[in-house]
Amino acid sequence: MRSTFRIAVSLAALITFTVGAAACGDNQESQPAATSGPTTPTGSASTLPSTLPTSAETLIEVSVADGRVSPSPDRRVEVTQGDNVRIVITSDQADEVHVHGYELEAEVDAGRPTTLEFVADQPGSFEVELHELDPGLLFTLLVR
Amino acid sequence: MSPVAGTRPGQTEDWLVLAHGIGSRQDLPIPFSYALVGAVVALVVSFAALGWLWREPRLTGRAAGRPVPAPVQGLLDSAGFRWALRVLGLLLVGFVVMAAAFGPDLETNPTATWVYVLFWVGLVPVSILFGPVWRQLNPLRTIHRGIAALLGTRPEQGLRPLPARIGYWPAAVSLFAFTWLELVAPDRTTLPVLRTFFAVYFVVHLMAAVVYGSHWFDRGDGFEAYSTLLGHLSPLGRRFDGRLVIRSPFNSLDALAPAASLVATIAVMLGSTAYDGFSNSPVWIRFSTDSDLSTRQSGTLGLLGFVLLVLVTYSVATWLAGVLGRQRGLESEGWRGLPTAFAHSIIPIAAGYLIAHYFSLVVFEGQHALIYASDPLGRGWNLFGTAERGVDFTVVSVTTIAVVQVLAIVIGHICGVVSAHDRAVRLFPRRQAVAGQLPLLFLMIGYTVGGLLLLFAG
Repeated sequence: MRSTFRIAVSLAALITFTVGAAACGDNQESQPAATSGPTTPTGSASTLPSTLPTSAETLIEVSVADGRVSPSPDRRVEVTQGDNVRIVITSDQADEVHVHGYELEAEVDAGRPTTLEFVADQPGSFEVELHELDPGLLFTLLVR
Repeated sequence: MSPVAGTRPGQTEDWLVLAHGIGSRQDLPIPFSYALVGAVVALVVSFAALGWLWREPRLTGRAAGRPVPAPVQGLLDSAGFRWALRVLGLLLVGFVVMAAAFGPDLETNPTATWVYVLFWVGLVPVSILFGPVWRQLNPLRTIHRGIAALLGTRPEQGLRPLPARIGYWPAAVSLFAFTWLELVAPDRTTLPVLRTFFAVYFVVHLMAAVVYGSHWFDRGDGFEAYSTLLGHLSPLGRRFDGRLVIRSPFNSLDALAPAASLVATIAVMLGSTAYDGFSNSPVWIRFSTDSDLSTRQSGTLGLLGFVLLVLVTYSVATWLAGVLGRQRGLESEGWRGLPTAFAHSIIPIAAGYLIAHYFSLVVFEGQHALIYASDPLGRGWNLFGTAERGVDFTVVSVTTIAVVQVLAIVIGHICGVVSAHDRAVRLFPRRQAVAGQLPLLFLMIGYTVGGLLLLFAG
């Protein structure tokens, strides 16, 4: 029985090693997110490494008419951690927009564009939704 | 940091919007290279296992293990320790019931995070480490014990025996009901919904336990079955002679007793987690927005579909295994043959899915649970000194999460393959043992590659 366990342990070690190696090989991709991740909630821009480019701004426009979201809500918008994000929503119905995770909310008046602006400072995948619409998803924001 | 900068949702409706069960932050898709490496490792190990692993069964299940020192067993089995666990269970659940009954229906009420994160997801690592812990903590068991004492009966004694053919069916149904609540139900984080669900759950299971005795909880209470099945991955177990032993997790899995609808219960565990990942994917989002179904309708179909997908693919694979392995006369082996005989090997795969999907949730939303716990009634209290804290999103990095996710899926796969291998060489004639393993091996590769795809595309 001990040998069963030994085989299992060596398999697990092998996997850990291989996946770990893959993780290291992936540094170019994952490292920026990992290094800028540990900025503390109070950390200001001055604590960021100077090698990071000055934060870019991403404009995301979305409109809702007759209960349909355009562009299609399966859209994923990728931004870099630390970027400014500006979301402009136009809906034919009054509603409320919610950026998950960042817990930002704003009223949306019928027919008038609403703008939400924030710094995407935490990594992860976040849904942007309307509360009254069903299904309410507008798009998914990927912060890397 | 911006999470606190904006206006916070404060309405009674939709206040803690838990889009995919729980948690407003989801994991980033894993890098393609991670998914690829994970899939390649799973494939290589699978086929290496066929040729390389033992040819005679080695696992001895309930007979295996090295006993823990007698004083340790004495303490763990003592009435005092058992009562301490029961009281702990009553206190923890009592705390949540208090918050649910008397706290405000606001985002800051700890009920939802305690139910969906600390309890439901936290039960996974605790059971994997220590075995079927919910049996010991379950307040329903303790309350039922009290009822039995009032009636002057023993808790195990019901009005009638629980028919064996019922097996885990009630547990599978109650697990499905809870995962539907967690993943599909509208307003699932609001107090009226949670109160209603758990009030019904408590009443139904207590009444059933009065009728069938406390054995009902083993087979009927979804949370106990969930904890017990995951607990079969624990190195701590009980040998056939009653000794507490330390044993290889493979022997713990091997020791799982066959029962009716074990397969269905495990299918709910695996299928619901897979659906949770899939419901995030652009494919599903496009389907559900293009269809005329409401979110509740499409979610119910999706959840049911994934559970059935697991059930059907697994049943077909074990049927094929029986054909190729020329297995005969398995009735003596347990409940209606091969599907049940191999069910234990799917548990590590389900556990891998659970860890991959909920690791970051415990780490991040778990903090919310502890923060909100300081002020359960919304009166400005700070019981545990955590009320003023915010969630620290820097505890684990995006890279760490991705590595944990891939490792969980791949290690779960390997444990599944090894468990199924040993069972196959025991059940099939030697010459057909390799052929008999192939269907299940391909199925497991499918589940694993599917799991990695969900992480990559989800």
